Amino acid sequence: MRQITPVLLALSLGICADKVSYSLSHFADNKKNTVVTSSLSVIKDIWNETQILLDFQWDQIKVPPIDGATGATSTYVNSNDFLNEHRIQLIFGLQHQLLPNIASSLSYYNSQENDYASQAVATEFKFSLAQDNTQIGVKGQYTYDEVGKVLAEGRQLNTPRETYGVNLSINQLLSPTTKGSLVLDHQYIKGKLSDPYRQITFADGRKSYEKVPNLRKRYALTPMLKEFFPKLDMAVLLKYRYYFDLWGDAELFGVESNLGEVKINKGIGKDWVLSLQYRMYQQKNRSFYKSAYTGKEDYYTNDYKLANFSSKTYGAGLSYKLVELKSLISFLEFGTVDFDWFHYENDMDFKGNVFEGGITFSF
Amino acid sequence: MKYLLVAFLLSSCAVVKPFEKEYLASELMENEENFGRQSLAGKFFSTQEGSTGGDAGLSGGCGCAK
Repeated sequence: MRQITPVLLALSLGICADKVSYSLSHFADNKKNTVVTSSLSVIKDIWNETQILLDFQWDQIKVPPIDGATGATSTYVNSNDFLNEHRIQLIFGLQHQLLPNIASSLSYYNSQENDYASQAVATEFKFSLAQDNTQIGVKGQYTYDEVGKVLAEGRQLNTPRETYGVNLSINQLLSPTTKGSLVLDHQYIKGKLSDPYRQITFADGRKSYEKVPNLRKRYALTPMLKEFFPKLDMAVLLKYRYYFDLWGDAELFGVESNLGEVKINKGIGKDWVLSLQYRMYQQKNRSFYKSAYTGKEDYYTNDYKLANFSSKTYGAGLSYKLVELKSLISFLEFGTVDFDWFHYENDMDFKGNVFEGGITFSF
Repeated sequence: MKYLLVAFLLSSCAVVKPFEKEYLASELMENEENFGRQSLAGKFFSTQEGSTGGDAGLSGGCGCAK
């Protein structure tokens, strides 16, 4: 019943909204972590050339007593019980067409969980040029996180983390069937960057909480190419991402990674779309991460997200247009039902599956 | 990477006329069928891997990505 409530909410909001989408996803892995996420998004035209966007997400998280493979943290460090936690996320956005070729948006993000809180504001401007053949986007985002730690006596200690992000994107039509894009990301993060619960065991048996620099600069360059094949009613989407980051004032080289992704969308008849996806990822750490520490190092962590590893993801999805429903309900303009599955595994003995189902209505 | 960037910028001189954009507007050319879905996938990978970027959606911090 708790999962159906957002669906009923979505339908009721749909009376006044222009577009409503609800999805439910289930993640489970071989380390006994599970996450169930409900997501509801609503878009509404409020006045001329202005839209309002509301996105609500609710995560139900279940993790083993000590650090699960997802990195989710336990608030009861010495407990033998599984931790059940909830996370609520809300995004509120406004989109406005400033000029015929300039669109702007302003968004607010808020996420709350037992020992972690996050707020963000973002603004974006999109410029359409050359008969809409070229689109340039500039986005800025500020995020303020409170990284909490529940202490043994039940008191909570919060430490701040601030993130300044810039995103530059160029989308270009290359032919009547080809689109290309290039995205440049930069994040400047300062504050608490380690997990307050994660501990290191040194070579001599001593234990300590991990210690990493309090400054991280992240850079990513992502070219993408999309090609439509009219005779096959099929599109192929290719994506590559190069990423690296620098830590501390000394700019220690941290993670360097390469990501390749291919997705095929194939139309089946008039109403069905089949999607197939394959993703390859590989990262190296060039600096302070080690598999073992003596305790004399400046920094030490056993965060596997900073280790050398590679992963692969493959999956499939099916989408169906609700054509019959459209003819039955006069005010319904469009509707889709979709289902996705993907499998993720890395070479550190971690594997998991995500199942997602969603429904979207346009009014 | 340098050559890819140059090739991309040079090719941007081509202009596709409005009446030639039928295929480009196809839903098959979209990454995400569901407009609420992109942030879910982005959050999943950010909890598993040490890098991020290339996504358009708004995302903030969460305890799972510590």
